[in-house]
This record gives sequence, structure tokens and C-alpha cells, in this order.
Amino acid sequence: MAERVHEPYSAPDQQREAEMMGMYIFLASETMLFSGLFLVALYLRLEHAPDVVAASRQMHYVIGAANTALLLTSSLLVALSVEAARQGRARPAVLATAILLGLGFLALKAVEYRMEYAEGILPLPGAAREFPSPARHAFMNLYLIATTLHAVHLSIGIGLLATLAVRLLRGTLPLPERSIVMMNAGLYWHLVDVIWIFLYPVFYLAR
Amino acid sequence: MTPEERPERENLADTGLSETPAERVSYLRAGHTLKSWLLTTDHKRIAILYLISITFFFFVGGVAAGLVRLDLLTPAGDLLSNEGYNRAFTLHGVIMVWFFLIPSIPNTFGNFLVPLMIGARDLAFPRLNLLSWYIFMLAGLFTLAVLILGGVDTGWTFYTPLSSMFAHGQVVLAATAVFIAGFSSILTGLNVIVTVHKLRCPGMTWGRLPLFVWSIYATSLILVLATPVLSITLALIAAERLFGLGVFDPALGGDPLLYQHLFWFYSHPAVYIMVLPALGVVSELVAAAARKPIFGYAFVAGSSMAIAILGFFVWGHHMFVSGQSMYASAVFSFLSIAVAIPSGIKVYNWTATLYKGHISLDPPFLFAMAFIGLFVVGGLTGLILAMLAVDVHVHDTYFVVAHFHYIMVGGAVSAFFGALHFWWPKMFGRNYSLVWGRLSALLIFLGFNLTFFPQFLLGYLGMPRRYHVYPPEFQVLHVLSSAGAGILGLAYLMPFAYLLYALRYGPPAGDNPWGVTGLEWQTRSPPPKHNFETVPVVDGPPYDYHVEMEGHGDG
Amino acid sequence: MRTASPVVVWIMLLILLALSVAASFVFSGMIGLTVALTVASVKSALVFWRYMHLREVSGLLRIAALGALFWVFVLLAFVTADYLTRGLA
Repeated sequence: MAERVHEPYSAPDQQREAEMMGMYIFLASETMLFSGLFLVALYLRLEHAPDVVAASRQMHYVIGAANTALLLTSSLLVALSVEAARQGRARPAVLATAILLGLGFLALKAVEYRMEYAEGILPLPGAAREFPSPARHAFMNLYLIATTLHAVHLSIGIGLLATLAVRLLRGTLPLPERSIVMMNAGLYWHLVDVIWIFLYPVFYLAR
Repeated sequence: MTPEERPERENLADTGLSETPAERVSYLRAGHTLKSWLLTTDHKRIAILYLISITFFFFVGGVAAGLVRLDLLTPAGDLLSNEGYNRAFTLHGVIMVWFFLIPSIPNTFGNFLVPLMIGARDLAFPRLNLLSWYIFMLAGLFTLAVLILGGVDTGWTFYTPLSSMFAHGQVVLAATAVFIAGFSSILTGLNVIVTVHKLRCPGMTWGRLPLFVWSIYATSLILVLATPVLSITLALIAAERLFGLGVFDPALGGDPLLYQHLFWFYSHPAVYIMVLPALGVVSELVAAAARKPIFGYAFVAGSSMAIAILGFFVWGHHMFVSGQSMYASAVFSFLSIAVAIPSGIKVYNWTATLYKGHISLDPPFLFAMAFIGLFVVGGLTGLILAMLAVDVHVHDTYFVVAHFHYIMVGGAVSAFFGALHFWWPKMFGRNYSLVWGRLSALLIFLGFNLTFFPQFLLGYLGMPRRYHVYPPEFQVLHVLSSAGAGILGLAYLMPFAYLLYALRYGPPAGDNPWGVTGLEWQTRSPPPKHNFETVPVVDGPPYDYHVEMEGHGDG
Repeated sequence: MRTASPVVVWIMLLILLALSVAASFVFSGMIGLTVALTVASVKSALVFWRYMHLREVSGLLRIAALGALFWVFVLLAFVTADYLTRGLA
């Protein structure tokens, strides 16, 4: 059970705490990144409330809810595989399922984008769009930016989990000595989930 | 140790040594290949990599400044076109802020010294440290691309709607460059925070940390919390320009002021990123020069934290005349006055430290003195600008330009040079000529004041900033300022000569050439790759000079 | 909560999700916004506390995890204060 301590650390728990702290601080910076988008959303809600409500009513809240459920479930699976890792058991299948759910989120999002595009409310460059009011256009602009940025982060998370799943399959991740690696990847995934937990009501439930 | 007891400096027989014994086993000689430098994870080598990079960018930004000051010699805009002038000052600002000032002290001296000062063998995440440098260089490449492709004309502040809708020029490329540089900042800050929390050697409690470490720690908090907001703001600008996804566009119900809120939420704390490390350096230089403990250590450490925190509450003072509500402006004005208090505490405490100290007039101390004087002028004029009613008249004039150059150039750059002159013997194991050091400190001080003091007068008289055409009655002041800029530029070149000369021909420095306290001076100069032979154990306060503290001194 | 397994937390999260969707049809305006964000906060708290290990780590790590929220609040609060008081002056 000897955990390898590398420079510049002198004790395993010091190294572990430092690595976890590092990830938490990184997540704090991600929180600040999305806070800018939430500010713009708040501004729109303050200054153009009727337009925001009208635009939100046009959103496909069922798809959004399904996506939320997908992410929540994937978080559960990640949490389970992390807990297993801390007890020394590698469960790549659980992790792989979480990845599949994440990919499912992206697929469902693409379907949703296509529907919105057909309805003329997705402000892609060059797309035919019809907005009853300018502020509704701004709302959809923000929606596209925010969900795209979230999708980028989700994709990074999928990449992280996939790398770990491969390492688990190959047995190249010593468990439970290096379970911190799993924990940190899990932290990132859970934050992406939390960001969506807030994005969903801001855009879909402002009715 | 009084100046008289300091180790013999000028050992003439030792000059011209190609390699001292300490150098042979130092981090400088641990690996001779280019790869060993470019793939290093040694915080000391990474500090040198940064030192070289930011020096290069200092030159580029300086050339841009030179163009600006040349054009301003005459009232007509005859050197550069209007667009060209805009691009010149924009480039000057972008490069100096993000590619010189923000990384300067934290990434060079912070990188080199923080592990040494806390008795650690490296930063918490050495490979992340190297990645930070590569990200910084990538951002620099993007900036050079901007330069080559014609530049950008929006000012370093990228205000909408000019930047998002109307500007020609490489706005997206420039925004991308700064966005990338932001990652470098965030990772550096993260690294330092974890390092200071987790890697202090036995006995190094928070209350025994050198004040430089406190200031870099406070800076790192700002780096991690504020920079991401800049990132998202720049991303929004790019989204509008590239994809038409506007949220600041008034035609869509957006508000340009929303951009300004987002931008200044980062950029005001950013100026504290630029000045807090300098304040930390000056604390070290003052204690070293006076050979006395810093007066009121707890207050100085606390003031670094207070500046970092309060600095997040004042950003609206950049927006007094832009349409922000008067009530919000009043609140921001009050808070901006409050944030000056911790800075004032530092200045008082430095003064009290010098009282009855054994002061030696070495170059580091001269730079520290320059800092204190110029920082006080810059800070007081900052208070003037914080007064809502006054700012209405001097906003966007040269008064503002002079204010921030007094802080950034008179302050932060002076502190950078002071740090360079203080820790150069430690970093490279060689002493340099003190005479030349004193001379350059003096010339920098004189050149600086000639450049920027006339700008206070210009601003007060109504000269707007970012204009290169002006009424003829302002020409005298502009000529004085440009002359000063020439002297300042030459003065900045001087240290290159004698510092680089010392690398090869300077006498060996020994472990502690200044005879000062601090863990970094307990190890060899230059330090070995792993910093310390054995992990230090600390059992006393910092700045533990045996001085008249007990009242038994020799007066 | 001490022995709430990840599965129990997941069930609670799904219930809260359904709750928030239902609530959006009942409450509107600022009240609706408050309800929606409160539910989101409770869900996030569950994720942080149980999935993201805040239950078991030191106070320092808890601050590292949640400290940024204060600064998000500062950004939102001050800018809101600007927009809400513009008409007054």
C-alpha cells in the first residue's frame, strides 16, 4: 500500500491533499469563468424580463430535463467508480457507462439544436432566424454560447474519463494508491454537472 | 550583521573565473543541453525562462511606447496615421500589461524564490509550472502574429461596441492571445497557493513567512479568481465578431456597459496583480537595507490580503462617466478610497522600519526608495481619481495615464529592477558593480519623472489620452515627456550591460553577499538543483536581525 | 445524511429536478426565479457534499471548493445594484 511520493513532497497525505486542493482551485476558476455568463443572463432577466420569459417558453424543457437526468446519472456512476477506486477496486465498466451517458447528453443536445434550427430560433451564423424581439435574439445568443461552452467542458470531461477507463482496463493505475487521480477527474465531472444544474433553470425554466 | 561586517565583496583575484565552485554544482549546471532547459521542471530554471521571455516583451512594448512618444513630439499627427497611432498604444498596453507586468515578478522572482523562502524543494506542481511557461509563449506567439498582421486598434481595454462590431484589425487574434495568456496566469496562481499551503518546511508557520511570500500568495488568489472573468469576456467579444452572437449589442437589447462591468471586474484586481508582488519585494528590500525587522509584520502581511480582497470591490471607478448609476458610482468611490488604506499602512511601516536602521545605499535600496516615493505619488493621485467629482473632469485625460504609469512603471518596474539587483547574486552566484547599479537607479528615477510628471499637468489642463493630435500649447510638456522617455529607455538598457558582464566576470557572491536573513540566503549561490542539502527547520521569526529590539543596542 | 449512499443522493437529485420543472409552471417572475435557483442550489449542495467529498475533507479544502461563490456573488450583486439604481438618479 506504499504510495509513491514524488518531488517535492515528503509524505503521501501531503501529496494527496495538495493534488486535491489543486483541482478544487482549478474548479474555482471554472466557476468564475461561467459566472460571466450568468451575469449576462441576470442582466437580461433584469432589463428584459418579458422577452426572457417568452424566449424561455419556447425552449424544449423536456429535452433539457432529460439531459439533466443524464448528467445526474452519470455523476452517480462516476461517484460509484471513484468510491470503488478508493477501496482498491477498478470498475471500468461503470466508468464507461458514465462516459456513454455523457455522450448521450451531447447527442441529445445536437438533436435539440437541430430542432431549434428548424424553428428558426437558433442564431447560428447564416441561419434563417426570426425573433419577435431583439432581446429574445440576445437570449438565444447567450443560450448558444453558454451551452456550447458547457459542451466543450463536458467533452474535456469525457476525454478525462475515457483516459482513466483505459488505464483501469490496462491496470496501469495503481489502486488505491493513486485513487486521487480518479477523485480529481470525478471532481471535474461533477463540476460540469453542477454548471448544467444551474444552466438548466436559467434558460429552460424562466417561464 | 552591519554593513561593516558583510563578507568581503570585491575579491579582485576571483574576477574572470569561468566557473565558481558553487556554480559547478548548482541548478545552472544540472544539465547542459537545450532540452534540459526546455523540458525542465526546476522552478529556478523556469524562472529564468520567464525572465528571458518577459525581457523580450518589455522591449517590444517599449518600442511601441517609443513610437507613441515620438509621434507626440509634434501637435500634428504626422508620424503615424490615426489608425496607426491607435494600434501603437494598443500594442503597448496589451504587451506591457499581459506580457510584462502581470508575469514579471510572480513568474520570475515568485517562481525562483517562493520555494526557497519556505524551505521547499520546488513548487507544488512542477510540470504544471513548465506548462504555464509554454502557454505563455504560445500566447506570445499569437501576439506577435497580431503585430505582423497589422495590429489592433481598440486600446488594451477592448471596449464594445468598437471591439465587437466596428473595429478593423486583429481583434479576435489579440483577444485569443490574451485568453491564452490567462490560462498561464491561472495555473501559476494555483501552483503558488497550493505550494504555500502545503509545502512549508517544519517550523515555517504563516506568521514566519517572508512578506514577499505573503504578497505572492495574495496575488495568486487574484490570479485564480479574476482572470477567468476576463477569459469569458474576451470569448464573448470573439463570439460576437466571429459568429454574430452578440450580447453587448444595444440593437439586441444589450448594454455596452455590461462589457465594461465584466472587463473591469478582472482588470481592476489585475492592477493589484501587477503591484502586490512589487509591494512584497519592497518589504524585503527595506528590511534588508535597514537590517531591521519590518515594523508591524502582521499589519504588512494583512494589508497584502486586504488589498487583494478589497481590490475586487472597486472596479466601477473606471466607469464613473460611462452611464453607470450615480449611486453605484458613489459606492465604488467610497470603496476605492478604502482600498488605499492598506497601501498606506505599508508605506508607514516601511518608514518606521527605516527609522534607526543601519541603512546601506546599495542599488536594491535605491530602487526601493524610488518605489516608495513614486508609489506614494501614484497612490495619492489614485485617491484624487477615486473622488467622483474630480474624476468627471480628468477621466480619459493624461492625468489618468500619469497616475497609472507612476504606479506601474515608477512602482512595479522599479521594484522589479530592485529585485533584480538584490537577488541577482543569489540566482547567478556572481556580484555585479554596485557603482553602475546605483547609477542606473538614479538615471531611471530621473528619466521616469521627466517622462511622466509633465503628464499630470497635461491631463489637468485637458489633454485627452489616446490622441496624437493636440493643441500647440501642450507641445512643451509633450516634448519634455518624450525627452524623458528617451532617457528612461537608455537607462533601462544599462543594467543589461553590467549584470550580464557580471555573469562571467563578476566576483563570486558566496551564500549571503548582503548579510541578510531569509532561507534563500542559507543555501549556496547559485542554489543547488534541489535547493537545500537538508530540509531546513525554522525556529525563529523572519527578519531576525539582532538589533536594538531588546533595547540593548549600540544605538 | 451520514450514510446516504450515492444512489440515495441520486434519487433525491432526480426528485428535485422534477420539482423544479413543476414549480416553473406554478411560480413566475422573481419568485419563480428564486425557487428555481434555490432548488438548483440544493442540488449542487448535494453534489458538492456527497459526490465531491466535501463531507470528508478539511476546512481548507472546503474553502477552496466554495470560496469562489462569494466572488460570483460580488460580481452579480454590484452589477445588479448598478442596473437597479440607474433610473433613480
